[in-house]
Amino acid sequence: MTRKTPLMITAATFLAATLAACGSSPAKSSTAPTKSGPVVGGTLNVGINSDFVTLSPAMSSALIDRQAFINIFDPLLKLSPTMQIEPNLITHWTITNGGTTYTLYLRHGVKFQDGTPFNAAAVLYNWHWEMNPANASPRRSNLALVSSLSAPNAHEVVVTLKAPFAAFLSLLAGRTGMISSPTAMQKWGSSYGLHPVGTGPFMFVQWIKNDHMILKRNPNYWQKGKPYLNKIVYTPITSPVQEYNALVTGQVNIIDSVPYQDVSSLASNSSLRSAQTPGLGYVDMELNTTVAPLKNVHNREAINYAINRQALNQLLYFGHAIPAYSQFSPASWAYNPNLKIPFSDTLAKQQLAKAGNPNGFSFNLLGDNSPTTVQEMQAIQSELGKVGIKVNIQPVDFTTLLTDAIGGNYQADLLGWSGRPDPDQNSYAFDTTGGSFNDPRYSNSQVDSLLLRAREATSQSVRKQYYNQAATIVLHQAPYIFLEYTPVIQAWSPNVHGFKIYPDGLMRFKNVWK
Amino acid sequence: MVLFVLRRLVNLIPVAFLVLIVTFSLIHVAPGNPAYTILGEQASPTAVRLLDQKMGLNHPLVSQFGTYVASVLHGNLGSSLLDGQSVTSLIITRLPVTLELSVLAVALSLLIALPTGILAAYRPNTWIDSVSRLLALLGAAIPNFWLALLLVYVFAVTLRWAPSLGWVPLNVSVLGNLGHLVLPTIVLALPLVAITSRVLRGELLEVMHRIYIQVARAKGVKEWGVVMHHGVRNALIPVVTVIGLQVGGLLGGVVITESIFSLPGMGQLVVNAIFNRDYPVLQGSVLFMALVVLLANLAVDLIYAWVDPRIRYN
Repeated sequence: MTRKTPLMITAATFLAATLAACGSSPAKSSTAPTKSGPVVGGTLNVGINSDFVTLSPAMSSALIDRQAFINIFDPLLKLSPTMQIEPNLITHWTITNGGTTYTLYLRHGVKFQDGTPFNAAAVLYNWHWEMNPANASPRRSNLALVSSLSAPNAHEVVVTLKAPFAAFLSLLAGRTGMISSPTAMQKWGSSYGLHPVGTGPFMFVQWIKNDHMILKRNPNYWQKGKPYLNKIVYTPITSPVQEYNALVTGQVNIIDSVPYQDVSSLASNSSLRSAQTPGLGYVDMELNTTVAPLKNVHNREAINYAINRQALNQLLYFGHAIPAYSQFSPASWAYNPNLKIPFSDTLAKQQLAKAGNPNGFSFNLLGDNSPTTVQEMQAIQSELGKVGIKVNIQPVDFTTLLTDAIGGNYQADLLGWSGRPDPDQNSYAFDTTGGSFNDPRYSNSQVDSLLLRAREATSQSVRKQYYNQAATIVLHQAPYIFLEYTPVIQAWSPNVHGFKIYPDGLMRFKNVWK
Repeated sequence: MVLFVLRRLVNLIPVAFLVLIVTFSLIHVAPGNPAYTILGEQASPTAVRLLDQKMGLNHPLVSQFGTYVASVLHGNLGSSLLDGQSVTSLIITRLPVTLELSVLAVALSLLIALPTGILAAYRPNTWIDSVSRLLALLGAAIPNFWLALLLVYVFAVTLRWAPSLGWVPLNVSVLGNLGHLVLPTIVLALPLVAITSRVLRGELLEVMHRIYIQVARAKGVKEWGVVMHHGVRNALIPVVTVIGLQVGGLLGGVVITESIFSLPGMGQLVVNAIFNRDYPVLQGSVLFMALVVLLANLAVDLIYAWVDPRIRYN
């Protein structure tokens, strides 16, 4: 099974590497490389762009939580830097009965950080807990296709699905595959999210909200010799400029994101290291296909043609994003670089004429009230204004935005999706009739059947074809206006070694030393 | 005096109740539901309904309010909808940060405002007055988030004199604690300087023309004594009033300053509670902050009596 997913590391990394190899500038002799192996010990100070919401994988829906999870919990399967599924706590697996039965074989000799043995019973305990409606777990929908779970022995889990589901393994590399110690879950009950216990390389010590969260080395980690760091301290810094400042001043050693305007100066700063890779996520507009005027497909397509994605990219992302035309980013194996539509005011006006409103129309655009989103909404407003489409911008806070988007109480909104490794996770719930993420209330039987076939097929090349066909229809029907694929850009100080950037943006510290 | 304080304290109760009603209504009028914060994009109608039930948000608003008030009267501010932490303990852990920051900001503002105000009034329309006026104008006009980023750029990023953000508790390191508070304190103090020094100047200018000042001078009191004992003391009442009124504004400034400097204080607690629709945390903190403002006003009234012995509360 070969999958081609280029991991693009930018000039920044090459430049940094070259500078390091050349011994850097004479003034900063301390940055000269000492080519020795990993060193055990030390504290890594990490800047993150917002505070964690909960540290329980079963109760988490915030993206930021995953930064902590990836180091506290070892997922059952792991992702490679090119987003391929690899064995981890599951050493191997078999898929039988036409893709409906998954037999998962668990690693022996693994213990949770509190000494509880990691085994099939623990996995089942977590999944049964998440599937119980009374617990209101955001993971429940991930396990909706599960019809039964069983554990023939302590290291084997058999999952029977109601229908074939090709993305199931991919879920096990995410929060559904992050297993908590059943002992700790029972001990702490509803406050387990403040006392997480996993099997990962680092264990939880302390979390003072809005201030810091501390992890320490797990001395009993199953992978002998790992991790290297003694301690990790996460500091939430909500102002992007301040997060970058904290790295520059040395208050933190690594940051999870870099403001777009600072990326080019970062590349020329020899006292910092950085890397950039296409992310899995994208920014898009959702158009409610059940209310006028966006009920009319020609009006939606007019918007699609009238937006200059290159200009938006230059203006808002300083050229570091990639224009988007589908839900599958360049980091995904389902990405098709040839799928695009032209930017053309003429074509937009033709569509407006077809829709019966040649002079344009007006609609309300909802978005969160962060400066970046408001800027992007203003840019869209001015782009669409050129063809006579009047946009009324409505910035609201994120909870209101989500409530209105999910409730269908909107005309158009500007949202984003952080993206998941399997294309099914980026399309099925978004595009199929009645799908749980289908905020535009889009319905197309052809798309429904293509995406269903794609999740039931086992061959990646066949799946890719289905995704392509579906994406082409979705692009032209425009329930979503895809705008940009957002990159992952991370930066660190030269004394941080062994760090690797991933398209999912999660900072894995198992192999990092200082 | 004691009776006066007691009466004022009793008067706090209806005001506090009003604050409760307003906060409760405002947050419930705002669209959005904590269930969406917890469930995220995965929120299905069924999941939201179940979570609402679990959190007691499915009951009518009036009955929710009744339950809440009853528990507040029992001294229980409830617990966070997100992680179950008690609101009282959340406030207690956040309070020292905000309290220290506010006290330092007021102290710094007085340290600058008193001399500049007095000098400006004593030498009106000279360069000293102009400098003090310019300072006041800047303090009043510069938005604090901009000032914060500017100070960080100059003193933290470029000169490396102070940390750019973060917090060290006093019991861990006194110097570290003060070091981390230097920039936020300046940001918070500057608007206070502006208004305090201007009010003091205006009032003192008027007082210095009073007959009793001339009498004092005629009696041969030294100029320092004339200005400080006869002038400033009589000009202080409006200054005290203004500082008291500023407590409310200070708490507003704290919200922004704490966010920019990543300080784990009350301001951040409130902001996050709003974004997450964490009703109990928001109601509890706003109630607490309202009480602080009310008590600050009571303190101002008591200070009047101390500043001006002619004022007596009976």
